[in-house]
Amino acid sequence: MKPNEIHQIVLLVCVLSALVFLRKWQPLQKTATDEILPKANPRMNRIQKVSKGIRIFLKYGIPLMIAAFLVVTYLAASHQMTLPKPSPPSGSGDVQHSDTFQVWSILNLVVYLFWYRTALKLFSFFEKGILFTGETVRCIQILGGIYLIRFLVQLGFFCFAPSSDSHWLGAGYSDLFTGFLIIFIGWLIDEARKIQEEQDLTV
Amino acid sequence: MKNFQNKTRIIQVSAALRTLTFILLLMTVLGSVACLVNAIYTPLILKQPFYLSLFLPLPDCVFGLLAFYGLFRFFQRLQQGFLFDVQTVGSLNSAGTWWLMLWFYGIVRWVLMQSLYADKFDWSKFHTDSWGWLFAGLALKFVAWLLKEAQELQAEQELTV
Repeated sequence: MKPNEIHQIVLLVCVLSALVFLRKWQPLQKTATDEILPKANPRMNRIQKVSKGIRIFLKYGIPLMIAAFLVVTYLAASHQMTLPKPSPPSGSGDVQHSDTFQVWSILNLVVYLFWYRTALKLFSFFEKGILFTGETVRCIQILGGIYLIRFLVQLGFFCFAPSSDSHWLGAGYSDLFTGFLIIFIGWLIDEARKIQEEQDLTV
Repeated sequence: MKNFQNKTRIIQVSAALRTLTFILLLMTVLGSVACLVNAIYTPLILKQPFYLSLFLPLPDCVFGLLAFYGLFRFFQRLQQGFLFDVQTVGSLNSAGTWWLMLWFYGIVRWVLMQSLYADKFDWSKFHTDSWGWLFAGLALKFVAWLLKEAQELQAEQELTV
């Protein structure tokens, strides 16, 4: 096994342990909205079921996928399994083996950790039937912010660690788009919620 | 008063985003025309055979066009002051659907190009960025579905005495 591969596996194990640790250490805080749960309704039940499905996939599916990736990497490294070898790199190869790429991998993992926590929190709110409140809007905006940060980090790499094939910027457009869209939708829901609250208070 | 200010802000931001989406829509139309000219007109002028690889980006342009049109309609409805009604949410949903189609066709096109023109089929050259587009499409679909359900839920609650 190459030293680079060991480094990435150790990093993934650390992130996985950190995820488990964070989930146990900081359970979801009880908020005031928890006590004002909406009445059971077929539509609300459907929203709760779908949200529960997504939350369970996030909670167990992603760690399982990471574990499967680790097992496959280990088996391939110990020559118990043969994976198809990629063809010789055309230009991005220099990027993939550089220190910049290692730094990018670490930053990416940190960003994913925050994304994972926020997404879990958001879907657990939906699962409880808390749809359009301040907490959910904040979670949505954090998710959008995470995508924007990821794009900005890529932009930083593009400016300060340029590669021959514009590797960094090319991969960042989807993050920019997704980030703006999620932030806009979060903002829209927040404004609509404020309008609704104002209308409810008006006699 | 605050209510009015909130709504005005939504309308102003939506108007700006509508203009931005319109520019993107125009660019996609121009891209589609350029693709079509490149695929049909150039071989006719130069008396060359038609190449399949030149036609392959065309569906990309069409799906992109439809996705941007959905977003354009969404922002237009918001600008008109219709926040979460059936048509507004429907536009968002259709944008999500076409976005997912765009992502799926991206994979199909890549597989076709690899099968037809590459010496050796190599998944390692597949752009991981396309997962970002998949997530964008799924997020649009989920938000549209959530808003639709919430809107119908509210309509039902208003009808209940």
